[in-house]
Amino acid sequence: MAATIQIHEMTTNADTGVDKTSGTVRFKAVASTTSTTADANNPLVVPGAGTAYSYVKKLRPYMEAPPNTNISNIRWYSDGANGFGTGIGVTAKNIGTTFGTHYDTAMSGGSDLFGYTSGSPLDGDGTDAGPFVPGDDNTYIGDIIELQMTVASTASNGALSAESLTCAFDEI
Amino acid sequence: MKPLQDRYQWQATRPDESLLTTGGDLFGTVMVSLIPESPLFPRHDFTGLTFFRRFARGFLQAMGGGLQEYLHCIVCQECRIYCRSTTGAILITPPDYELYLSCTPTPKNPPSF
Repeated sequence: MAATIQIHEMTTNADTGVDKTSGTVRFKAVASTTSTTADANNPLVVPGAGTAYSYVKKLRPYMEAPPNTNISNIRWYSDGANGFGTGIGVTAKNIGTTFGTHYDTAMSGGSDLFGYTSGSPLDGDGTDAGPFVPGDDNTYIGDIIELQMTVASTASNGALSAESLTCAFDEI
Repeated sequence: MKPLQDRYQWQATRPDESLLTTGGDLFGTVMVSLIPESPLFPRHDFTGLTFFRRFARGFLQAMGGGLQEYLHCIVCQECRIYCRSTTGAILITPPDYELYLSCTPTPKNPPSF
């Protein structure tokens, strides 16, 4: 049998999260420790001036069922086109396995998520390096990817269409 | 229907007709087969190539959507062969080509509660 890999939205530490594999990750004005629910509560507000920042989202792969041999080469990337509209962006970075805190101030050291494409993906296992073997079953694998949405005063009000973020992995 | 990652099984045949069905090393094999679980999907048998190794590549839509594609990859001296588990389609590339697909988002506007 092939492995089952899930994507979890991390809440309290590097080994605790909520399965979002078939759900929605929604940027909000509260931390993931308060809510990981994809609802209309705690929306981001378009600022009168300057830029507003969402609380960060931290994503990490989870091995729900083991591979025959191993999992390796975890990569994250977007489709390269920001479809969120004027004034809205997403910043991303790999924070290794150090969980840190949830915060809603500007992310330090991140890059434009839409700059990470299939031809230039974000490395997802530089710190917690693979290969990940059957003994890693039911554990988190690879690094934590931190994301933050930025909303400038030029953004329009209203719900946004979903954007894509792809997590790719190799399996033997 | 089987989960996406289980729709195709692979096997490699050695010169003595014994079968290899685990691992990633294909050195010394003379035929590699990708066998669908469903008869609606095509079976692929590759011969006449110098096989090096194999792996699979999964693509998760990471902000909701789950596993969108699962490629089987056969690395040969002459080329690289990718097979989509969603359709059974084959793509032949240069030997060192790394194929990464973009997952399209599932519609979520207006938001689902």
